[in-house]
Formats: sequence, C-alpha cells, structure tokens
Amino acid sequence: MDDIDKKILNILQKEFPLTERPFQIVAEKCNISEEEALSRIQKMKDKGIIRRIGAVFDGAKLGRISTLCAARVPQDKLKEFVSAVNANKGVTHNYLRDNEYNVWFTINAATAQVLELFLSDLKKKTGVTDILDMRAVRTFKINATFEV
Amino acid sequence: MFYTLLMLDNSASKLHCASLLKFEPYYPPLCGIVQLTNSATLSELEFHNNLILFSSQDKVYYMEKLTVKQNKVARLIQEDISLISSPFTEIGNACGLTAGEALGVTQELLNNGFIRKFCAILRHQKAGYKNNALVVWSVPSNQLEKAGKMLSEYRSVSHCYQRNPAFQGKYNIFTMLHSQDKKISLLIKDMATATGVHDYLILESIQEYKKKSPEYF
Repeated sequence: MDDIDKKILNILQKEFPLTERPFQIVAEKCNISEEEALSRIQKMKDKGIIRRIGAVFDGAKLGRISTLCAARVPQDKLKEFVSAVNANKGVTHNYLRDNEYNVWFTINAATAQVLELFLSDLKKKTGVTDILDMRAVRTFKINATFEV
Repeated sequence: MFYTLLMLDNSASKLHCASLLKFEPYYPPLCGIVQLTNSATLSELEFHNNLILFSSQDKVYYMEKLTVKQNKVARLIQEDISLISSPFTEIGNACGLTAGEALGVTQELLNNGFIRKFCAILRHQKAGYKNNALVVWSVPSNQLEKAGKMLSEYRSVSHCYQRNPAFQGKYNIFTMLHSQDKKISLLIKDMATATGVHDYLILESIQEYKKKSPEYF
C-alpha cells in the first residue's frame, strides 16, 4: 500500500461519498483519475485488505437479537462443534481463544426464542453443554474504523 | 417502582419484559425503556403499516419497520456494491428505481439510524492491524459507566459493551482491541492504570473460524 492507497482507504472508511459517481469524488480527493481509483480499490480487494464496500446495518435497531457465546469444547469435539456453529447464517464471528472456554462466537437471530432454540439444539446435537450466552446490556462503543 | 425494557418480538405480537439496570434509550425508535409499577400492564398493542405502536400508562412507544422499497435496497447494500463508475445506477436498476432514488433510500436509512454507516469494511489484520485481542474487565457496578466511557475513548478500542451474565461471574465489560504497532500488553496496562481496573483477562484469538457481515434481509 502506498500513500494514495492509504488515503483512499481512509476516505472509503470515513466519508464514503453517497453520490451517483462515488469513486469519481474519491479520485478527485486523491488527485488521480476515476479509472485509477477503481483499479487501486480492486487491487486492495484482491489482496483481501477490503472485505466489502456497503452498508453496515444496526441489527438492534432492526429488532434483531444478538449475543456473544463462549463454549467449553473438548478437543475431540472441536471440529464438529465449529461446523455446527458456522452452519448457522446468523453467526458472524467465530474464534478459537486461549481459555478454558475456547470457542467464542457472535450470533444474531430474528427473535430471542429462535436464538435460544438454536443454542439448546446445538447442545443436544454436539453434546457440548457448557455454552455461555452473554447479552450486551449496554453499548459503550461500536466503531470499527481502521485508520491507515 | 422499577425499570423495564420492552422489546417487540417481530415474529409475534408478544412482548418480552426484562429488568434493566438503567434508564437510557439507546435506540429510541426501536424500544422504549419505561418505568412501571409492579401492578402495571401493557394496555394496548396496535399495528399500523410500518409502525408498531405499544403504549403503557401514559407513554407510547413505537418500532419502525422497513418499507418494501427500503427492503429491496437494503438487500443489495448489505452486500458488496459493484466497483463501477455508477454503482447506485446498478442498484436502482435491480430495484426498479433510478440511481437518485436508490441513493435517497440509502440516505433515508442512514438518517433514521437503520444503517450505522456506509463504508469500506476492512480485514484489519491485512490493513496492518496485527495485534488484536478481546479483553474482559471486572468492573464494580458503581464504576461501570465511568470505566465503559474511559475504555471507549481509546482509539484502539473498536467495541465496548457491558454484558450480562458476566464472564466467570465477574468480567462484565468487554472490549475489542486492535493495534498497528504498539505492544498490545502495554496498551492494556495503560488502560488498567487509567481506569483503576486491574482484574482483567486477555483472550487472544488462536484461530479465526468465521468472519462475515450479517445478512439481515
């Protein structure tokens, strides 16, 4: 990434122009052509630096219920458990962490009942019964902007 | 008297009641936090187009739902927009709208808070943020507000929540940290000193099993 790439990334993260020709505006701010801006952005997508460009919806505002779960999964059940968790479309993050509760995932569902039903089925299906369901009761900050 | 959080279950006209710690409406159009007496009940529940109204005593709360047009646009912009000169012309075409109308709907969703932001979403490790950790803090209940706000002021903190139940019965504040160069342990020590919270756990990730944007529509 050179300085122009970095400038593009910061603009795309912090002030994406909601206009008919957004990349033209980004290009003007960087003193390059729209064509060059598009090709630089494409390269950063190809390299995996940019995951996507689009809207970040507020799940809670849409009435979705979300939670952070931590599960204590024995080594021999890890693979089966992870695939059962990942198969749920509402699971957005899933990590192996350095703790006795080793699998940590975030999940959202249309209702609290749907969420709780998934967790009870997961316990039955995998035999992993120690799964914590830790709901956010207060949001202090959400800002995943990575200035480069 | 106690505080109750009322949230509408969107599959059925059923209300969930859960006791809440504090009066603070984070999402006023979505859910009202209301003060009720033990004997109080919800008197009315009505549906009006995209508004769901519910009232309690003398207060009325409402929850908005997306219109058909908003839903169509939302389905496309929750994904990755095309890298072309006029991406909103393409989005509009797919929804039977002009580029201007598609942009208008997007702006509308932003203005009323359904969209938190419209932007590029990065894979932060690949963008140079190599040091990442989930840090959970054991904060006494009378210091939650102060500690939560102080931790949130750190630029390296992307997410900060109070969660219930607490992890291991005491770690109630959860922060996600991302850092480019600074040793993350030094940063955490600095946070502990600043907040006076010295009981914390660093939960480093060993492996990523899944990371994706949610699909709501």
